[in-house]
Amino acid sequence: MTHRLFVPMIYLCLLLFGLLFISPIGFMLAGSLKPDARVLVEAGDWRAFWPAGVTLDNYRDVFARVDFARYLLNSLFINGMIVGAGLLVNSLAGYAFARLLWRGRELLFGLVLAVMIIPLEAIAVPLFYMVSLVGWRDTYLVQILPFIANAFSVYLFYTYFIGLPRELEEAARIDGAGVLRTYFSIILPNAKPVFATVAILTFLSQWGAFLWPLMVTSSETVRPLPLAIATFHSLPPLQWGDILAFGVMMVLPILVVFLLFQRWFVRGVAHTGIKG
Amino acid sequence: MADVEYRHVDKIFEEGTKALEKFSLAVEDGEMMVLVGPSGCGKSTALRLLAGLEAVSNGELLIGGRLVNECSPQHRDIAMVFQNYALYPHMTVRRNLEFPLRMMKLSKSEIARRVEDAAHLLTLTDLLEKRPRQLSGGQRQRVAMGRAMVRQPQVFLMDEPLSNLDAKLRTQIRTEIIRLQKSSGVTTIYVTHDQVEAMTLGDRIAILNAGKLQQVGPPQELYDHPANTFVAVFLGNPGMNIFDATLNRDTGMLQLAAGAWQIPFEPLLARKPSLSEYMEGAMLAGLRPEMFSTSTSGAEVTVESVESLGHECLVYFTASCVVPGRDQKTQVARLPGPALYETGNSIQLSFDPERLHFFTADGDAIA
Repeated sequence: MTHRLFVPMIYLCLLLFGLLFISPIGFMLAGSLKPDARVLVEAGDWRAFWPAGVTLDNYRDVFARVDFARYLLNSLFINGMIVGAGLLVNSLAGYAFARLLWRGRELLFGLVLAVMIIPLEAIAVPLFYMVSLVGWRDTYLVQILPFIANAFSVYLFYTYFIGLPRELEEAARIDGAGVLRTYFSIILPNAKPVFATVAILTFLSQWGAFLWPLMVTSSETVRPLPLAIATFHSLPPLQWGDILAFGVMMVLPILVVFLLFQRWFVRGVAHTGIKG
Repeated sequence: MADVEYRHVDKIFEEGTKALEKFSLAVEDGEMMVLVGPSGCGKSTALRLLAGLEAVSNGELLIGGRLVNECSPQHRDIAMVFQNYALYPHMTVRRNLEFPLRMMKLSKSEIARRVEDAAHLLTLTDLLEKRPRQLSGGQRQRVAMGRAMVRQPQVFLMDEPLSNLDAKLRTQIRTEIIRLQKSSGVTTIYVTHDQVEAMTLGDRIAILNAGKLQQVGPPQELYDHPANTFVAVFLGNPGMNIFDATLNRDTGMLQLAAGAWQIPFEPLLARKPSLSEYMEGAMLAGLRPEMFSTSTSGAEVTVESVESLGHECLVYFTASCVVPGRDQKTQVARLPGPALYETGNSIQLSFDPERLHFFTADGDAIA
């Protein structure tokens, strides 16, 4: 009897937790689709999650009030570059640490691991000073370059590569492939899960970046979405429906990326042993 | 095709493990050389050194008379078959076979020709568009062989390529390997821990133990004339029995196994005069299990256990002997016919003294 109840109870608990976690997104989505005046009025009851009388006015408002497309393109470009270049640089570094023999490898790898615990906030000011010296402020470059090399990504790649059968590389070397050829032709195609994991984690962590862009940018032309939503929020009149519509459009790319790579991401997480 | 030579090769790993010590071996052009020995004896290391996957600590490696110590694997003109096949999982069989040829920058038509030839020879034609995970163990093994063959290298290296297969398939592919090696005539170095594989495959066998070469020669020669007790016990299934032995001057008898067998030693001395140097001293005698026979004039031993193989049986018995440094108290006799012997009973075993092998107390064969 107890056992027969146990499984449904577990499912019920999981369902409740699922609903709890998804409720802010539900609120945001429902709020974005209803007239602005009803958003706060209905916030206290179940209607907060039910958009009776669907309207896209809030979305139209966002596009009318700010250059949303520009911000979106900025964010996509900056994040795309960070993810793309990061995958190349960090995977090559992880491979070199995992497989190539060179002097000082252990020492440098220890340093890379140590760097993982230093948050951006700790180095933001000296970094700001450095990029100001070279005149990079208010550019795309300043928002991309400091985030390409990432110690955590290197570590994830390292963990994955160290678990791949060494014989694959040895076979490739004997077959006549050099280090880079082995990497691109043999290792890379067999490491899709870790690439997906790193891509998603990097995208997630960078998509919401706020402090650094706020410090180094001043013009709309290069600013990303998180700065735009902050500005939008303080733009009179305060319209919650518009803000929620902005939020939905900002979350959408993350969901798309996650859904695209979800299959590999789960495998990658299982293999590298990280928690999401 | 090329000959291969190891000259006084040492391999010491970073953590200090000595995998090979003063290893010298010459493999002739077109020969099938089998490196055999127990786990950790250095046989795979010897192969990996030749492949260029490990660096030599001391000594010289030559392929076709060319010193290759500093050569990268791709410039040694070798091909290797790995124990776990190491097929590229994301490529089809065809792409796997093509990969080394693409690296050689051969023309498309030449690549296609070689792949088709290898596929035909190894009956892989129907599998060319499949991926490794869709293949059985035997098929994967054949693809791995094919990938090595298409390169037409000077030397084939094979690192326990059959150890992941079941017994029946192993026998079948063993025959195939012999056929392919003979028809291609490519110098082959084959590593195994299985002495049956070594005996059946090798033109010559090199036996290693603890990083040192013990003996090298044709299988039958090693079986008949082992250089030391390690080789004697390692080759044969089961291996040679080793007894303590004493030449007793007073009685004129060779005493085996603390006197279980007493044999007049004069005829033995006539055949092997060097034995006289060991008069009254410690030495060892070896006898293959199949040399025993039951006889009413034989020494009485107690049966410890019996393994029936149908047409013959292995009778394990205790001979009251103590061989220094060896756990060889239980000996074995291979007797013809079904098992008519029961545990705990006594049987009488004898043998032809001419079949005895003699070793020093340290285990080296007495010339």
